[in-house]
Amino acid sequence: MNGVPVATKPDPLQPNRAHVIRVQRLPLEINLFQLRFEDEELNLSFDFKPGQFLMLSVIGVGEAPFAIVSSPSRRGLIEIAVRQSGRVTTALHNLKENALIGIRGPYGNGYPIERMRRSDVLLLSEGPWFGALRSLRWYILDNRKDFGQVTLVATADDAKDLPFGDELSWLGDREDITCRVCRPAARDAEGQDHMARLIAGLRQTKFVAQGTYAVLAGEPAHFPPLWDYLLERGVSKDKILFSLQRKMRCGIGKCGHCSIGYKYTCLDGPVFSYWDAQNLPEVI
Amino acid sequence: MESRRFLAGHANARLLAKDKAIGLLELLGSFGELYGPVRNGGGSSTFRAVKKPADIDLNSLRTLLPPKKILYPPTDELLEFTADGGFRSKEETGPARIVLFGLHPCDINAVLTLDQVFSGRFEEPRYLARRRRTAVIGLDCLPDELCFCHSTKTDFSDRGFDLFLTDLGEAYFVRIGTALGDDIIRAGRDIFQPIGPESIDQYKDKTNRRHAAFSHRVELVDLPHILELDYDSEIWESLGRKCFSCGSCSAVCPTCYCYDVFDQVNLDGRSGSRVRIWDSCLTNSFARVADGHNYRQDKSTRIKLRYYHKQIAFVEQYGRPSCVGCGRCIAACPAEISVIDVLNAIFREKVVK
Ligand SMILES: Cc1cc2nc3c(=O)[nH]c(=O)nc-3n(C[C@H](O)[C@H](O)[C@H](O)COP(=O)(O)OP(=O)(O)OC[C@H]3O[C@@H](n4cnc5c(N)ncnc54)[C@H](O)[C@@H]3O)c2cc1C
Ligand code: SF4
Ligand code: SF4
Ligand code: FES
Repeated sequence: MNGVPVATKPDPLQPNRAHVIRVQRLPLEINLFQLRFEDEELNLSFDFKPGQFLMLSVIGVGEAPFAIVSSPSRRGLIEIAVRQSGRVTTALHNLKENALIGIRGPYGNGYPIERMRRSDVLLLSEGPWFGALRSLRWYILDNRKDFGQVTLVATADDAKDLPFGDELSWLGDREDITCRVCRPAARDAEGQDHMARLIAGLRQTKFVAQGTYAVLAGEPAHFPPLWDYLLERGVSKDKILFSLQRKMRCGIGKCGHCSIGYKYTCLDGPVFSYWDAQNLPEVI
Repeated sequence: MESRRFLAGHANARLLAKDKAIGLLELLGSFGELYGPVRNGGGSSTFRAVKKPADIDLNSLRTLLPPKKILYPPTDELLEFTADGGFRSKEETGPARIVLFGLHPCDINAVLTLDQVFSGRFEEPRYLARRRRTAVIGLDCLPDELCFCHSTKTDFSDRGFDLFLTDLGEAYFVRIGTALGDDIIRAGRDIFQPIGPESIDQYKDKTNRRHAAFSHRVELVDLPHILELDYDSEIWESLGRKCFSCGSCSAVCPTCYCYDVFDQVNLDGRSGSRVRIWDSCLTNSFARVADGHNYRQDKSTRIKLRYYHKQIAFVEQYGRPSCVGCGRCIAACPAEISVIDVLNAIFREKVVK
């Protein structure tokens, strides 16, 4: 039995006790959940990067992955924004404040914030995906002096109908971030107009492409025209970033459900670059 | 004189006369709960706990299910929960000691593969606990027309066993792999004999005969790159049309480990357990998410995933492919899809424009 690996760490599948502290209704039937571990030390030590996710268990129902939408620069409460879609999400929506839940994580690679320091950043979002960049946006604003020019372009019929859309109005008032909200043509299922508007909005901002990170949030199938524009402008392939979703049952590279091409989304993602996408089949 | 000195110093092999094989199995039973291949009706055999050592089929070639079913059971309780207590990791509750007898080199290599999957950054404590308590006794074999483990380079075991038995006709040549293996030999002092020069010759002979007995060769060296190039090949479409999505190939594969999870609530409605169950990437529900969207709607993308994961993704993550060439998926497939044919076709077929 020589050489057989020994278990030396706690069970990675074991969720930690946590509570729902507050629930807030957002547009599009999304609920914002503020969560807190029971163990105060865990609240202080729970370290994560924008773009990482956690696995949340509703006791007696099941477990599912959710992106963390709060920022590691604001410790104490962890926030997730959940759309009701199946068993776990429905049970979660039915939970009362103070309910006991289980949380494990954080998982996934997250945005490469160390590498992004001192660079200019473009935050580009399509309609309801605006919320997906919230953790990164807050992180950048809370560490504003560590980053270069920050430019945000979002498409929205009406900002107040988006989850966290109210944040757009006060973002627009800040001097240290360029903010553009573009209204797409009505009923744009293929997202073509969303992408066209994003590109038009970007043109107005006269951003510098050299060394800039472009972080995209939207339906991946809609991305190609935006990718093409960014590449033509000279944004480098490994600096065009976006987050992908797949079915996940474990979050730690064991259950196999989240594979994309040759990678597991839960380990190698969920944040991928345009260059990854070029070398990885099945991204879109 | 030369050869006698060599034999005295070279203590990591013994000879076991065939009529002493039952004696070894009885001895192994004293080292833990003994599992081995037991013959079913219809000529197949299955790994199971053996009551009488004589039930073990010493000539079994390919069991229906691989030994993973003992180390990584089809269903397993991961956690217990209560409404107000939350979750508690469930410890492994198998036999205190397990002796797995009769693993061929492909299966030993498969166990080493599972060891890699379940250790590392995120450890699976139940698998590792069971594995720590398991002794592995290897047994050699002669390949049939479904075996291709010499192509996958898993036809030999240099580690992963405590003892390894090679059939030399009249006797078994017993290699000692670990200190535990040596303990077994010491405990059975009277049934083993020292090896002599003639047994080494016979061992070499057997090795050569075994090499010559493989009827297939599958080209695997350039395979990852060729597979990447063939991502859009028509092969996947036609395999997708043939496959029934039954998932048998995953169940019988000694290195397939994908699983699904569900929470099982007890009758009191307040407690229960989280259970893991073997899953297969070939089934329609594998990548289906809430709202009915399915990331792998087409059967062709699922069957392709099976090959790409084993031959490319696994190499990226763990440094070698995960197929050990045991041929079980070929034997099990109701659609008669053969991994040997598929991999060979990938190499031979020209791209059709
Ligand atoms: C990295 C990542 C981040 C995510 N972030 C968010 C978020 O911030 N907000 C949000 O509302 N949703 C998010 N999702 C999707 C969310 O996980 C699913 O809505 C949720 O799993 C549905 O679970 P259910 O039990 O309600 O659905 P059911 O259909 O009953 O699903 C059963 C199980 O299948 C798996 N599953 C089903 N749908 C999905 C899915 N879309 N993605 C992954 N696994 C799935 C889960 O393990 C789930 O428990 C994210 C998914 C991933 C992979
Ligand atoms: S893929 Fe088939 S031949 Fe290869 S290890 Fe699995 S069952 Fe055996
Ligand atoms: S055993 Fe054959 S038919 Fe069944 S899922 Fe596997 S490839 Fe398809
Ligand atoms: S979610 Fe299980 S492997 Fe990625």
